[in-house]
Amino acid sequence: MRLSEKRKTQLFLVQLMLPGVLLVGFFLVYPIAKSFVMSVTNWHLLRAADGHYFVGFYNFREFFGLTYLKKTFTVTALFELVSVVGTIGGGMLIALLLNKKFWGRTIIRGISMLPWAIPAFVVCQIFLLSFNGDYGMLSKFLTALFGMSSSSYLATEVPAFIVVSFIHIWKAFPFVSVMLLAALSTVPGDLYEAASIDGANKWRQFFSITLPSISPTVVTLVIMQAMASLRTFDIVYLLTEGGPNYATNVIGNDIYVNGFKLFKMGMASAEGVVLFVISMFFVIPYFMREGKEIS
Amino acid sequence: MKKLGWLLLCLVVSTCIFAGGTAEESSDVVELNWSHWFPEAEQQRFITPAIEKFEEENPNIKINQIYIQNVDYFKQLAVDIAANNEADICTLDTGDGFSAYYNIRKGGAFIPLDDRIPGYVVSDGTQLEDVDLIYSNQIDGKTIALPWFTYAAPVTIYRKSLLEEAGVDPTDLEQWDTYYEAVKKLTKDRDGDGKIDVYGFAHQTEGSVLIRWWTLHWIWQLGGGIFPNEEGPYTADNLIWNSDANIKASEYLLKLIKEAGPTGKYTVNDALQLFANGTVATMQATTWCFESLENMMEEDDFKNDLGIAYFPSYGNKRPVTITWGNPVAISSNTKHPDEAFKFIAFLHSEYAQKLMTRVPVNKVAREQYAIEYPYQAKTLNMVLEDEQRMVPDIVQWRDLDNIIHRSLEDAFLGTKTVKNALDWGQSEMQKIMAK
Repeated sequence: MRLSEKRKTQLFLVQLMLPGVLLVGFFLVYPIAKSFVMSVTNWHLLRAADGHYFVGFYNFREFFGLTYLKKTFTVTALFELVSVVGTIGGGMLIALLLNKKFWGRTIIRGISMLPWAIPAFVVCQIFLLSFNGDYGMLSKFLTALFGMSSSSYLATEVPAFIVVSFIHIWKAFPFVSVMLLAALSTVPGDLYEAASIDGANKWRQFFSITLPSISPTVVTLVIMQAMASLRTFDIVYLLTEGGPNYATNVIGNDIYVNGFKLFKMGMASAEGVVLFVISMFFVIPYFMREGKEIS
Repeated sequence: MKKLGWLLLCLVVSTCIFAGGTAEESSDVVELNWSHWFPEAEQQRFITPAIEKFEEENPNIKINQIYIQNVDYFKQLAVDIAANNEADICTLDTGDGFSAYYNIRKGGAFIPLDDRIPGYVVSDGTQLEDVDLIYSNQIDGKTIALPWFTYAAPVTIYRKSLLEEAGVDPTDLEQWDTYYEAVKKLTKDRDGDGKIDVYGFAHQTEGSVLIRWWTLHWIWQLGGGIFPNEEGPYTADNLIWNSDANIKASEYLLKLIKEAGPTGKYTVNDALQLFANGTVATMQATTWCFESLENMMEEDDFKNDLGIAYFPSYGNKRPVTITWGNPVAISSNTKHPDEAFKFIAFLHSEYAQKLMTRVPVNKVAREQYAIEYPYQAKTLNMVLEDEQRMVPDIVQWRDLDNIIHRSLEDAFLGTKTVKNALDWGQSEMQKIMAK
């Protein structure tokens, strides 16, 4: 039977989309669906001989009954806030500086990307040595500058949180600065000329011209950074493993500890489901925005 | 036609992938996989030569090493057993327990060896039953692994020159009260710049397996622990983590750390490094520490400036110590248990054991070991006089250990008082055991 042209086109489109759909299905949809299934089973790797059976919301009750849960949620929320403000603020500052013409700008632009390019493991090893209370360069510097105790900054709750947040921001802001730099380059220069003629100072120009012009990019970056910070695990685990006393225990780290150190896959999956639900608060507005912009 | 051609190509490629993906043994040679975590230097020293010798004697058996980094090994082992994909021969750690891994599979993940050991003679004439600790690795009364080698812990190591300089007698290190005075005396600002240059003491403060190992010896000596004498019944009611003995021992350690130790969070390896470069004058050590120190210290310092003293006693209470090891077990999924047993038995031969840098369990090999590694041999002799104890080998061990790490880290970093840290640990462990 000969296919109509329309059917042929549809078949062709399906053939083109099929590999992508299969990959997304296999690497994204299936793992997410599996996590949901595991979150309602007693999946414990060391008790595999007992089999995995349905336990309803038992894992969720276990998770919400953890004594350190309130602290974990507080730390995660604070980390979100600090990270987003830090990366957007830091990225904006660097983007504004790099948007100006000066000698060596290209080289500086390249160097500013280094924190983003260096693997998290290497970054954490460098900072672990730098913040050591007895021989760390950074801790000596901070002690000399502020007169603070040279005890290891990663061994005390508030300093450990500040250090982890700082390193996360340090690693993430170059990407933000690149995106903002691209957005800044689209702002017409004559708007600034006109504003100067009208007597607007630099601050006024920033808030009245720059920020409104690049606001779509800023909003997108805020949502992206919020989502990225929410799932942070590597830096926290490598630096403090969530300690001391859960002071840096974000949800991403807790999922790893429960799933891969304690082998409580069911509980870790339940935590993952909770994280999934929380991240929907960022994902849905993001896609709604995208939808509005497209339409 | 074109479509048929593509379809045929896909079929051929798929067949090649699946055909090439499975390791086919020839009918003559048996291949066995052996998983362990010993890095290249140690492989070259005592693993690869043993394998080569074995394969020379048994040309029909080939041993493939599967190296997995230490930090990931037990995670990987658990996953492999759950997936029925573990190696034919698995290296275990008595300090990590067997139950957790053995019970992943119904009927047990490792085969019992009791029927194979009696009367077995290794190729060099070694009677397997004469090997030390040969029946020591048991679950439910069944021997599920052969010992391979052992460690011993702990003793106190010290820098002789630093003790001399401070006027401290090594015997002062052998009692809790005199040890405290000694480490305080050893802690000094040598160059008068207001900063401490030499610490009298070091003890891991970072929460991990070793903080528990290092601390338990102190706790056990006062009659504390996790469960009484670490024996059953292993129930929530029987936990003693926040007992007076535990609090007293931990507070003593905290006092040493605060008044005579480096600041902040550090591991045993960090402490060994500080000891090696003369920043720390005394610390507790096990047999494997000497290997690390030999690499870290100047040769002359290692040979002549390193002293060993008994672990400090509390009054007339002797230390409670540990000998533990990395035994080798045979997977219950292996298709070649006889060949696997032949190999793990060979690891206890004089030849294989003489290659060891750890403490051999073959008595003849240990005589040579004592000459080549005098510090390790001395340590073993010192601790064998004391009561030996092991941590509970129960399914919940991993959860309990995680809580113990956090509890001790909180105590030693000062984020909680010792009592609060141990109370928290007790409460969390009771929840685990109550399930």
